[in-house]
Amino acid sequence: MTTRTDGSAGAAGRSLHGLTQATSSNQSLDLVRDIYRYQLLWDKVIYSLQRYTNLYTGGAYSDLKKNFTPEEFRKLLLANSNDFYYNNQVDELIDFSYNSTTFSNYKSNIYSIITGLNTAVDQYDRLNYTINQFNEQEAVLTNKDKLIEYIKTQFSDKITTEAFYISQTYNTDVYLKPWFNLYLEIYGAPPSGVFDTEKMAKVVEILIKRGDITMAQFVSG
Amino acid sequence: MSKLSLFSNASDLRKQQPKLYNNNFTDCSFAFEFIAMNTSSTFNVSPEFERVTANVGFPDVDSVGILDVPASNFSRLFYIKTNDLEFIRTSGIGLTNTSYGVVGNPALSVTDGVIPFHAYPSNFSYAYSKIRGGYANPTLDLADNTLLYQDYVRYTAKSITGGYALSDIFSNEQALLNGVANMDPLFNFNLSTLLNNASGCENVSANITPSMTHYNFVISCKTLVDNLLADAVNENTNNASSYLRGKQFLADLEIQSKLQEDANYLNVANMSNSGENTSLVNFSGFSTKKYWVIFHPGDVMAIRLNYFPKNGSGNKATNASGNLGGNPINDRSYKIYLNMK
Repeated sequence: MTTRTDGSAGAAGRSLHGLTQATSSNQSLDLVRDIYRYQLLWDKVIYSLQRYTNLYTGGAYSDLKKNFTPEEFRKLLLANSNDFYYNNQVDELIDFSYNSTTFSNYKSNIYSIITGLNTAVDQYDRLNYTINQFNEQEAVLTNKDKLIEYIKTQFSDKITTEAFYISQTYNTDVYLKPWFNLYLEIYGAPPSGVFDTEKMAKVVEILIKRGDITMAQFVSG
Repeated sequence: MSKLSLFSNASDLRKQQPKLYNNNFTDCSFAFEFIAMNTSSTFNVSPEFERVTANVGFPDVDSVGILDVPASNFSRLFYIKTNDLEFIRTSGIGLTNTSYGVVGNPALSVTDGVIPFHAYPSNFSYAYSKIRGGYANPTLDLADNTLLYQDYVRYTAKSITGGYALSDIFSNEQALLNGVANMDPLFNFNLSTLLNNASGCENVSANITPSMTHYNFVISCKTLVDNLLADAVNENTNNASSYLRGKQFLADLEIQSKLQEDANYLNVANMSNSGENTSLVNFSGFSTKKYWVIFHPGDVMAIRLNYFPKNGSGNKATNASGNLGGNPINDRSYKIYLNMK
């Protein structure tokens, strides 16, 4: 933002470590300070957080646990404190160098969070399924009659054999929606079945630019 | 959580089972697994029977479903012939000269057999079997609310994506769902054909060997009858319903015996009245003492259906546009419990 917002005397361009910024108004200066804060937030918190989020969305839970230690947690907690963002260094724009990738970094992080949400929903389903299985199998293990019946049913009188059955070919052709089709074509199948949101967004952008689909079509699914 | 209360039972049933067993899953007295037929996916070669090695149930399957069917459809499927029903009733074992057969045909003096798979008004709709275990997508929202055709399309989605198991990834979702249902007539046709081919087969215990033609059908009948008889005379105090089912079987034999006596009486009466042999039914001699295994509501008969992907099991999914990712799609097997109503 370089537009003057008032006609105050003394307003002049000022070099801020390479950035020429109109500072004739407090509002403009505040905007720059906020950009500085966004950059600090990225550097000190979100960059690390995204690394952990990516481990989560990728199903690398063991690595996540290994890396996201209690110490890391405490560091992130502290790094997000107001003292880091509202201080003299920020007010005076000391050591501030504008990073033009800040916005895209945040955008990328948003995708990572969305993918993480999909993963969380998937994990919730899997967890519920597992809990149900556990509960029922525990019911068998803790009841003598059920346990005997289970063993009788599962482990007695069985010999491997081919049985009475019919095999038949499913002949219907499979056609994916364009965004799934192009995603698989470009990136292949997603690990653990959760599509990467950022990659999907790129795919959708391509399809819309090509005129293959509209935004409305994508939203309606 | 309660909606999944049958999960583990149903999941267990995906595994190979004894040939005849009681189970809590279907709330029925018996589940009987055929051990009869196998056919190729192309249906243009002869059925193969050589792989049956023992008198037991199915191998493990991927998923389990249940489909309600009329019990009456199956009561002209298996039969025995014996000249000493009283011995069978009291001892609970078949005589050595008891014959076991399937469907029957005029050459065997068995003319009223019915193949169940084409007797139902619109055939059996396996695609509408309710899935009870081994869900392609086991989320709570879908569990207890999934039919076979939905499950198979979700399985296809899961195979292609490596995990995403919803059919909304397909642009031809409805066609895919319909495609599963469209397989039902062919399943019924082939089951009927195989049973029809076996309808000329019947044998006594000593001659029921794997080398005999249509062994799998005949041994299926013998297995079922043996187990029903054993159940009838071996009361399990822990399972009254099982014992009752065996008793019901004996009662069914008794009813048929009485009907045969009455028919024989009428037949003789006809002969004496008209002076000619009507030959409606000849009950003199061993070969015509025939008794059907009557199925009742609550009985369950299991069959196994295998769905092969178009490109063959284990191959990558493709369509006219090319590869769909690169993940393989395997065949998917369903054990369908035909739940007699």
